[in-house]
Amino acid sequence: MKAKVFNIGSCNGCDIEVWAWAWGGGHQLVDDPEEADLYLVTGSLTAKNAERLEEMAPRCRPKPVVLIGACAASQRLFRPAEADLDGFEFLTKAGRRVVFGCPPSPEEIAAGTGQLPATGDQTLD
Amino acid sequence: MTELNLKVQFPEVFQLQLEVGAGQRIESAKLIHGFSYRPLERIIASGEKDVHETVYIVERICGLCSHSHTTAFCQAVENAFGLTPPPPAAVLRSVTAELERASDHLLNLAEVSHLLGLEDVFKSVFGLRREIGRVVKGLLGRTVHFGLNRIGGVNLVPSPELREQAATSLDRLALSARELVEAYSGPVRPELTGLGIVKDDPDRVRSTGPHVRALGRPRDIRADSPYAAYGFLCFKPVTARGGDAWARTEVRLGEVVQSLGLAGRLLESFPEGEALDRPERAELQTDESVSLVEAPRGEDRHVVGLTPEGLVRKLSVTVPTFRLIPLLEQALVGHDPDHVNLITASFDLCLACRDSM
Repeated sequence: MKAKVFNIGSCNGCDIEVWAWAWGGGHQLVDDPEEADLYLVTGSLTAKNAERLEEMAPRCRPKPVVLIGACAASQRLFRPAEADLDGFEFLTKAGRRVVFGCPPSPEEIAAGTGQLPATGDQTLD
Repeated sequence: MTELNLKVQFPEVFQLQLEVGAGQRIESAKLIHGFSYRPLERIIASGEKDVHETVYIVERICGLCSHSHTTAFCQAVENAFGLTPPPPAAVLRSVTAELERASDHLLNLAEVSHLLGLEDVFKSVFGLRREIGRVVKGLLGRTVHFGLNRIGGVNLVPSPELREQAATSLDRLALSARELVEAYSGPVRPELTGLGIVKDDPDRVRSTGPHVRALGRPRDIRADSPYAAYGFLCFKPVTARGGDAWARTEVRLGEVVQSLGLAGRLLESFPEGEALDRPERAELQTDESVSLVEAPRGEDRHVVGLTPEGLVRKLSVTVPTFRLIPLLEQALVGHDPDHVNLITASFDLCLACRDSM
């Protein structure tokens, strides 16, 4: 599976476990959002990262999204997020899943990403 | 003159703006960060959070070195209240710190070998890291954000059986780490030698960490002003010469072997006793206190201000990456833009730490 990670304000804890998931399970982490099969989101959205997401939006297609960890899932850990994640269509349109944990283990991430369809045109859940 | 924007390491965490001059040489470099700015200092120092709550938040400053941050914070609060963690707590803090250091260095070593396209080396580095992760999980139940530290001691002490099991695994892993040093040095050394030299006078680089020890200076807070259980250990900081990317990598390789050895030794002679210092009444002895910890990347300093009721009114954290950024910007000058990723990786920046303040 090819995954694109959007680190929108995480502490790197979830990112390490995503790395462990990818390297341990033979998945690829790609830079180009068009190439990816699914999008992974870590952290709660900061104002500066919202600007960058907006810049990136034209290159992103609606694809299955997995929110990794407590920050991404709740969008507030110690305070509300600075920007609204739901404003980004490519992150909402194809359905979202949530993997809870602080951080979730690679096995939990594998379970959460496991049965996603290869294309992002279907609605999950 | 052209300007390049490069993204390396974790996606979207920082940008490097480079000015490239004639002959494809970098003339100046500027690192732009702050994308993940989470104002944790402000959230904590609102004057409403008590010290126990704060340990939980401090742990979330960084996913890579969370144990270093909680150790520094807990030590600062313990100093202020005059608490002393009992020997089992001190030893367990050191064991966890060493395992964290080894995993963290291995992540960097994996990244460097990945950038060089050495897939076999990468697999063995990552395999070793996963084994260490299993040992940590066996001991503490978690691989990231251990939730171990607590004001006055630790939250849990693993049973003797678990400790023995971990010590046996660590002996074996120290052997594989030694083999890895050979396998890693061969192909990586020629690629990194001479890249990204820290040009400052070593005695003027006022910090500790692998980048300083790579300049031949054995500066290490664990040895210079021991905390936790380091006072009981006899060890010499790993050093290298040259201050280039290879020297930093060499220090990390040496420290992986050393850390696994230290953690194993501490587990074998684990003291008996309580996990927490529980005085009947703890009184604030000073309202501001400082603590230094040798995190995997260098000196991590926490300055904590407390109110008499035990609420946090001030927190100031200086993370190691704070001192690394100017050194990186300087070291990139004069290099080919093709080498930017490798040089940046060899400094092992942690922007999650830097941006959380």
